[in-house]
Amino acid sequence: MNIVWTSLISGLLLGCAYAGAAVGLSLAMGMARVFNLAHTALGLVCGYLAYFLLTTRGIDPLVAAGLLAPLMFLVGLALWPTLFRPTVRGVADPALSTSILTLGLAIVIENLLSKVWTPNPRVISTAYSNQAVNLLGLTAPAGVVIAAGLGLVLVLGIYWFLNRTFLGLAVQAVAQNPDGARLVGIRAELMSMLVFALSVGTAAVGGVGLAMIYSFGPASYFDWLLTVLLIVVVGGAGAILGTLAAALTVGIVLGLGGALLPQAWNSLILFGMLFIILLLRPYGLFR
Amino acid sequence: MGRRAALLSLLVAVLLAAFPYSAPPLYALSFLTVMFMYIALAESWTILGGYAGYVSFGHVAFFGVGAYTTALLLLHLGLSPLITFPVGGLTAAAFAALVGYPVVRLQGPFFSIVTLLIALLVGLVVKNTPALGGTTGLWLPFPDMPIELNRTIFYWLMLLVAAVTIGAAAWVENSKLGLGLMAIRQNEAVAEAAGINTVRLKLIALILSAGLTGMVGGIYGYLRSYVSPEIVFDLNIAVTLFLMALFGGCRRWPGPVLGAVILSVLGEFLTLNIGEEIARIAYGLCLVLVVFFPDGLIGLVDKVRISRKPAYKGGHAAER
Repeated sequence: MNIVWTSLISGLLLGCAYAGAAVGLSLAMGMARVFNLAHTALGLVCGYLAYFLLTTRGIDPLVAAGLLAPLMFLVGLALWPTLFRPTVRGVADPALSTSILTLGLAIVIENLLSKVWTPNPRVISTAYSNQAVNLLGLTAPAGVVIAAGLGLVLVLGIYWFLNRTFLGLAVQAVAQNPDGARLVGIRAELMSMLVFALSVGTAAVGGVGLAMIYSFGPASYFDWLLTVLLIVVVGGAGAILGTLAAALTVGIVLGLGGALLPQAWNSLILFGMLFIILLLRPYGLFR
Repeated sequence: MGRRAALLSLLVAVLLAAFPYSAPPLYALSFLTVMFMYIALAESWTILGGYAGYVSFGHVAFFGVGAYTTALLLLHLGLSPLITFPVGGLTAAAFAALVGYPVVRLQGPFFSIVTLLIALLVGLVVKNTPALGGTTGLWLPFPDMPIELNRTIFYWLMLLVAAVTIGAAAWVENSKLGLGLMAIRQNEAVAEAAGINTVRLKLIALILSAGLTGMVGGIYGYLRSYVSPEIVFDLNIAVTLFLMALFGGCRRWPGPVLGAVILSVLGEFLTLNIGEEIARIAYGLCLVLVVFFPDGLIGLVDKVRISRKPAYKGGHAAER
C-alpha cells in the first residue's frame, strides 16, 4: 500500500511540474492560436542553460529560472514579428501553419543542442537535489518538490494575470472576439505578441523545472512535448485551471503507471491516452 | 500535363533507366536510389497532404507496415520482396482504411498529431512483439550476386516506383478526385455544402497515399537487408518526406520531385562535408522557410513564369 501512496505523491508533484511546462502551450494555443510544438524544446534549451550555469558558475537552478524567464520573454518578443506573425496572418488555419513552423524550430533546436552539448544525457544535481523532504509522512526528493512548487507558482501566476489584471482581460477579449476587442480600442496584434512572448517566458520556468526532475538529452523535448500536449488537450486550450487539473491527473496516472507497470507500458499509456482523447474530444474534455 | 512535358518526362525516365549501363560508381547508384525513394514518398504524401491540405506527420507508419509485410513474406513464405512489394502497399492501404475513418475527421494540427501518434504506437507495438523481431528487428538474406547487380536492381525498382507514384499523383491532380481534394483544402465547409462527401474523399486519398508509401517501404526494408522499428518507423523519415513536399511545393505534382531532388543533394552534401547534425539543422530551417513561400519552390517558378509573359493588351484577365 505504501508504494501506492508514495507514487501518488510523486505523481502529484510530477503533475505540478508538468503543469508549469504545459501552461504556456495552453496559453499560446488558447489566446494567440499558436500551436507551438517547439514549446518544450525552448524549455529544454533553458534546462541546458541552467545546467551550464550550475556546473560552470555554480548558479542555483532556481536563480537560473528567474534569470532565463525574462530572457525567453524577450526571445518570444523577437520571434513574433520575425517568424510567427507572417505564419499566422492571412492563413486559413493558423494552428496548422504554426505547428509546421514550430516543428522546424524544434528540429533546429534539438540538433543545435546535440552539437553544443553532445547527445550524452545530463543531470542537474545540487547539494539539496536528493535530500528527502517529508510530506504528510511520506518522503520525496527536494529537487522534485522545488520543481513542483515552481510549476504551481507559475500556473497560479498566469491565472492571476489573465483574470485579475487589465492586460490579462484584454488578452482574453482578443481571444474571444478579435474584431470586438479592436472596436473597444484594444490593440489585438500587440496582445497576441504579448501573450506569445509570455508563453515562451513560461517555457523557461517549465523547462528548468522538468530538467531538475529528469535526466535530459537533446531529444528529451519530444517526450515532454507529448506529455504536455496530452495535458493541454485534456485541460482545454486556454483554460488555465483546466490545465492544472489535467496535469495533476496525468501526473498521477504516470506516477502510478511508472510504479505498478513495466517500463514499456509507460509510453503506451501516454501515446494511447493522447490518441484516444484526440480522436474523441480534440477541443478538450470539458467543453 | 502538356504534350511537351509528357515527352520530356519520358525522355528523363529513359535516360535515368539507362544510367546503370554507363558503369557508374556504386555510391552514385545508391544515392540516386535513395533519392528516388524520397521522390516517391514525398509525391505520395502530397496526394493527401498537398492536394487536400491534411498534413500528416506520421506517414512513416505506412512505410514501416509495408517494410514489415514484405520482410515477413520473405522469412515465412520465401517470397522475394522484389515481387511482393505491391503486397506491402496493399497491407499499408488496408491499415490506412482500418484506422482512417476516425482520423480523417480531425482537422488541422489535430490530424497531424494523431498521425504522428499512429506512427509511434505502431512502432511501439512492433518493438514489443517477439514474433516481429522486437527491438532487434529482422535480418533479410539477399540471394548471392555481385554487389553491382544488387544495387542496379534496387535502382530500377525505386525508379519504377517513383515513376508510378508521380503518375498516380499527376492523375489525381487532374481527376475529379483531385478537384474535390483541392476544394477541401480551400474551404472544407463550402466543399461539403456543395455536395462533396469530404470524409469519403479524404479517406480515399489517405488509402491511396498510404498504399504508395507502403510499397516504397516494402522495397526499402530489403534494400537495407534489415528491418527494425528504429529504421522503418524512424520519425526523421516522416519529417523529411513532408518537408520535401512542402519545400518543393505540394500544390502541383512537379513540386515534390523538385523538393526531393534539391533537399537530397543538399542533405548529402552537408552530411558528407560538415556533419549529420548540420544537415538536420538545414532541414529544420527549410521547414521554417516554407512559411514565407507556402506554395514552395514550384510556386516561385510559376510566379516568375507568369510575370515574364508579355502583358495581355485586351480587356480580359490574362490566361495562365
